[in-house]
Amino acid sequence: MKLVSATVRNYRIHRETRVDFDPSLTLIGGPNESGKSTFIEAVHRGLFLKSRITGEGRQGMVSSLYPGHPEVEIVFSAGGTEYRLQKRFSGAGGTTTLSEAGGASRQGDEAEALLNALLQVEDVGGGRNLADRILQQWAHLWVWQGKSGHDPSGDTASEQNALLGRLQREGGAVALQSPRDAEVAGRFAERSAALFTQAGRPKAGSELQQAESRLQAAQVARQDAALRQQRLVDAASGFEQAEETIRRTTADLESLAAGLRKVEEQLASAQRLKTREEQQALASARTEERLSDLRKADGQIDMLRREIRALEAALAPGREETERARTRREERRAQAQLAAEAHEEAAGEARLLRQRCELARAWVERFDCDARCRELARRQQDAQKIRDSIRSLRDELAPLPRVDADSLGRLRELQARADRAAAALEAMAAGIEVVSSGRPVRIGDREAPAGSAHRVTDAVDIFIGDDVHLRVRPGGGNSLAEARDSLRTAGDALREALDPLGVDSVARAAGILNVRESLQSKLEREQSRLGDFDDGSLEGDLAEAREALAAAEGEVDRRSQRVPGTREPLDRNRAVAWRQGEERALERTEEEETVKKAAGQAAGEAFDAAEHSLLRLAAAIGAQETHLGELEAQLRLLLTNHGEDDVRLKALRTTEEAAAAARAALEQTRAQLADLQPEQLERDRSRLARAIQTQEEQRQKAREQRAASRAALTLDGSEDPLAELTRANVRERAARDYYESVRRRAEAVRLLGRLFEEERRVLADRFTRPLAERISDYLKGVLGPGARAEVTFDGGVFKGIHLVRPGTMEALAFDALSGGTREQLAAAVRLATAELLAADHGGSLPVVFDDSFAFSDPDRVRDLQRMLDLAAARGLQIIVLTCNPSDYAPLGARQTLLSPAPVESVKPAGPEVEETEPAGLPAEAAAAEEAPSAAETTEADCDAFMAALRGLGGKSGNQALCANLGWTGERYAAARTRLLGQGRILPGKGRGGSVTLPA
Amino acid sequence: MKIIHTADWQVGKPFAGIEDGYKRALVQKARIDAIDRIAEVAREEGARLVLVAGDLFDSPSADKATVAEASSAIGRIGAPVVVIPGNHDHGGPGSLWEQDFFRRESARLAPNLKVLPDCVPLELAEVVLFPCPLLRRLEAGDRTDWLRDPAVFQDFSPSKARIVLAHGSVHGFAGGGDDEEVDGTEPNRVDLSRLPMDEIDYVALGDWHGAKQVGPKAWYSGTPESDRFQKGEEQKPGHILLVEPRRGEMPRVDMIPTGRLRWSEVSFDFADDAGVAHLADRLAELLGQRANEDLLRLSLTGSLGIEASSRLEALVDSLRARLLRLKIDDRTVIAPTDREMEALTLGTHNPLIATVARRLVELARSTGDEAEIAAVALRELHAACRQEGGA
Repeated sequence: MKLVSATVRNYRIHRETRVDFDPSLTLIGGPNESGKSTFIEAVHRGLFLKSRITGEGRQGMVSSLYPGHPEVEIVFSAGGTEYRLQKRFSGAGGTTTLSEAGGASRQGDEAEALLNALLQVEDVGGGRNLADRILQQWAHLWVWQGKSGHDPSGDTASEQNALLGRLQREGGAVALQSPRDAEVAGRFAERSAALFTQAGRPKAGSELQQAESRLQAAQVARQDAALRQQRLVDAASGFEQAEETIRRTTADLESLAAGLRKVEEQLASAQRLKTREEQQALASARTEERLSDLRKADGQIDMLRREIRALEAALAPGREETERARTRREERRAQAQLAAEAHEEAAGEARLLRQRCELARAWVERFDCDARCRELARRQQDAQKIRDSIRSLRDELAPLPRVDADSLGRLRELQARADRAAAALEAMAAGIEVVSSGRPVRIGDREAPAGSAHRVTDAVDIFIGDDVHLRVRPGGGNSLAEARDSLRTAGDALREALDPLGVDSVARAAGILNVRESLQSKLEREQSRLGDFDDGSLEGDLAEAREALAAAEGEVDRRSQRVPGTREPLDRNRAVAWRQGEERALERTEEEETVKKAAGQAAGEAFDAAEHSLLRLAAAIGAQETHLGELEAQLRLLLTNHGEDDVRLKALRTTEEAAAAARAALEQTRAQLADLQPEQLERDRSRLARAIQTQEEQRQKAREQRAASRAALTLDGSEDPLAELTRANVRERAARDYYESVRRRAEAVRLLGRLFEEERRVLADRFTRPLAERISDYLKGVLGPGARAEVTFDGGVFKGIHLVRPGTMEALAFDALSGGTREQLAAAVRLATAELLAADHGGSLPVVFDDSFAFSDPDRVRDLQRMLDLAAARGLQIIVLTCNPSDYAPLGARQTLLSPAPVESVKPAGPEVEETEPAGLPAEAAAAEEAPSAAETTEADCDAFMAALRGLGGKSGNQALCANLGWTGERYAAARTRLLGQGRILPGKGRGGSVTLPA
Repeated sequence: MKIIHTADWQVGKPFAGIEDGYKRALVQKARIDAIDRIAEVAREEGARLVLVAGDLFDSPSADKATVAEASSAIGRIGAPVVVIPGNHDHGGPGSLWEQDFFRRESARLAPNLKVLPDCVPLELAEVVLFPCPLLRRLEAGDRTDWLRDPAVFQDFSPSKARIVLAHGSVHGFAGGGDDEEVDGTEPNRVDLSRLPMDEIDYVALGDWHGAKQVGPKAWYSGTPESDRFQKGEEQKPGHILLVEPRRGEMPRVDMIPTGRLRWSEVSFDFADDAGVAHLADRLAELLGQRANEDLLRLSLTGSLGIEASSRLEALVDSLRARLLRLKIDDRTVIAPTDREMEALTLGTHNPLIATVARRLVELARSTGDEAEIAAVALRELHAACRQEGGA
């Protein structure tokens, strides 16, 4: 099949565009927006889109520039015949006409059906998204703008069977799997997939997995049952062990207890022995002590006796001498006694004589004292007479005022003064003399009988009768008053001087003074006389004399008693004579006494010497005697305590025997005790007690163990653990058998799946070889002679393509390749596929590349042209659309250049327009199907964008610029985004946004 | 005096290998039925004492339901039933015989039951019993050793027969376990040669599941109802012994069959695919028209084609349904026949299947798990192809 020509009318920007195709190589050039892609899309739709399409699919074709329905007219040759296809997309009333050159013309569905048959495609039906769905038609032949880098292996879907058929035919001897093969392989693949996951594990819910779960459950159940049974067995064995332990420990405990009892008995007897030992030791010690005491006492007694004997021998001469001294002393004592007695006698006689003598003297004294007393008493009487006289004088004198010469003189003067004053006054005073009066006269307050004379010195009222009242004022002026005052003053002074003396007049005072002076002189004479008799000591002397008399009388009485038999002398003289006789006798006796006293003193001194000598001797032996006394006292004490010798000897013997017996008994007891080994016994006892405790603990533990085991062994009969175990065992075995059988079956299925897969791959490899070889042919032209392609064919579909570069073994997946290589590889695949498919289309098929090598640099593009040329040489019709026709100059293709459409849109008008544009942005709606994605904006678009912006003064609102360019919003946005990203324009402000050129 | 000597009732045996609950219940019930048949024999023969020489129960911890059922059946015997614990229902601490619920149930339902858990003689009206009970699953020594002293027998009436009750293996014989033994069965030894046999008139032994005389006066009664596949020809399970012991004389012993269940064993080697049909014939002969009466152990060897092995599987499935139990030991090798192989591998129209089949055959020729898996895979592939072909 080859395209001959195509004409597009009223199709978006095309008013009418016609291209004549070269049978081999056609190049359609033109700048961006010249409508290349739109044109080729229109051709594709003309071939595959039903003319009666409505809705968005149709709307996308309607031109906003030109009125009229979109029309496509295509002339193509197929099967050696040329056909003219005309489609008018006028909505539900669209028409299709297919005319055979020089032959029949078909309309409508018939034409569509024939068209599909000629193109060897399935009817894709109608309905929604038809315009999208038809993109799958001849997708491997039609490389849309921007799709050149896509993996084309999926694009063969619609031509799958045709391609497979071709490959099979190409393969010749290669036997492709039969339907039965496919079914069986598919069945096992399915079953395998149902049984196993990708990772090869049994799938959840699969029989294998269930069998595995059952087996695991059975194993767990068996383990549980075994555990329960084991617990019973363990409990039983625990019980028996416990029983055995109890038995053993009980037996052990008995023997241990017996051992302990024995040890304790031995210990008790050891204890008794010890007590006995202590007692015996004590008794023995006591006996020994007593023996030692006895021996000690004996020794002491012996020693004392020896000492006493020695001491007595030493004392013997001293004692004799002392005895002699004592005798001498006694003799002296007798002699001194006699002398003393003689002296005493003489002394007594003298004492008697002295007393008599004294008595006589006392008598003399007494007489003397008596005489003195008499004398004194007489003088006393005389003195008393004088004193009586003195007293009477004084009594006379005492009542007299004490007027003396001085006071009398002063009185006399005062008298004189008063006399003078009185005289003065008298001189001035008035004299009133009542000479007669019949009526009572009263002067002042005094009655003045007739005849009375009155002197008045002062104003005085004189009442005569009841009716005469006279007032007399003596003197004149004041002189009378002064006289009177002076008189009064003198009188007062006189009276004041008289009053203390108690006299009323001076004369009297003078008389008294005379009396007093006479009495005073008498008194002085008497007193002088008294002084002659008594100088004041008379009284004392008399008392003294009387006391001396009393003493002398007392002396006489006292001595008279001592000296009885005497006679009272009658007078002093006799007394003196007596005294003289006595004094003479005393003198003789005293002499005698003096002689005897001297003799007595001599005897006393001799005694004292003897006494002294005795004392000295006694002192010399005294210490030894004392010591001897002490020794003897000790000896006596010892003998008292310990008895006399025979007693002691006997006691000593007895005690010695007792001590020996006690020692022997003690030794025996100690030997017995040592035999028992008490320390060992003590250790035995604690060891046995410890062993008993250990055994008892063991037994107690065993009892607890037994109780626990018994509890564990007690069943309620609700189940039989052993039977359960048996069942669980069998179940596990069954589950294992089942699992094994399921597993084997599953493994068998998996094995089958795997083997089928492997074999199918082997077949597929062989099968896809023609395709791979053709792809490689194309690749060699661009990548070098070693380049090779591998095609993955699996499950009847192409699943991928790998590239092996020259000199390497590595097969690179399509997606792993660079953009340029991808384009090359994709082109090779498409061309190879087209070549294979072309065999069914009379050896030729058109292959369209719409700006397909965006990622290829000019060199690569040149290489690609080799590929295209090879394809053309192998019969394919190559149609290339490009905005850079010069790049493809070497291709030697037939060129057609398209011009950009006019910018102004014509008003869509006219009755033939059946559907109005939907509201919104017409540009966006129109471009929806061809708009490249943002990423796919072209450099040409960018340049156009920049040129337009410059044309608008370097600054424009987005909407204005978009309208200026006549682009869809998406196309505009894509270019803008890219330019913004490159910094070639800057975003501005304003409603809807704006762009500017950078400063 | 006639007594019945029996043992190894093993009431309560789980038969866990029988998956089907109903069939399992039938097999378990058969053991109770056997007790009822003993009761029948006792009545018919006028036996005045039943001795159970151990293993009355299958487990030393039998559950209440089992105890109740067994006690009820024992109660129905009427005559005194004297039991010693065996290795399965051994005495000792925590054993069934000590449990309160056992004492309650047996006292209520089986007043004629007497358990002898100790080595203490029991003097009855006409006989004296010398029990040798087991106190653990495996006794270290010989539990009859207390009887080696002739003095033990002195105190009893010279007119009463002396019967020893013991459980274990006499020299040369082992009771043998089966597939339900939890652990390996080691014999509890009973050394008859060391017993003063002049003092003893009969030794009633248990543990060996077939009836067998092992000494002039010593017998194993075997189990009254077989509970496992036989181990040798000489065994005679499913019997009880009717014994007439007399003091100082040889006992008279009669073997009376009581078993109902048929435990069979068949081995078959497949020489070719026709073997499947031959096996089917042989089993038909063995089983007749019966259902749910037989227990069969089937051992298969040889090799079969894929299709024949599928036929065998079908046969086995039908057997499984009919039998109380089918225990199968299938060691058959699956080897596709030439025709099968041809069908799988040589067809050019299904090149993938053919290649895979060839690789599987190759794998199946090796050994081990991989070979088995390959064999299964071959069968799966074969089945898939047949299914596809038939579809």
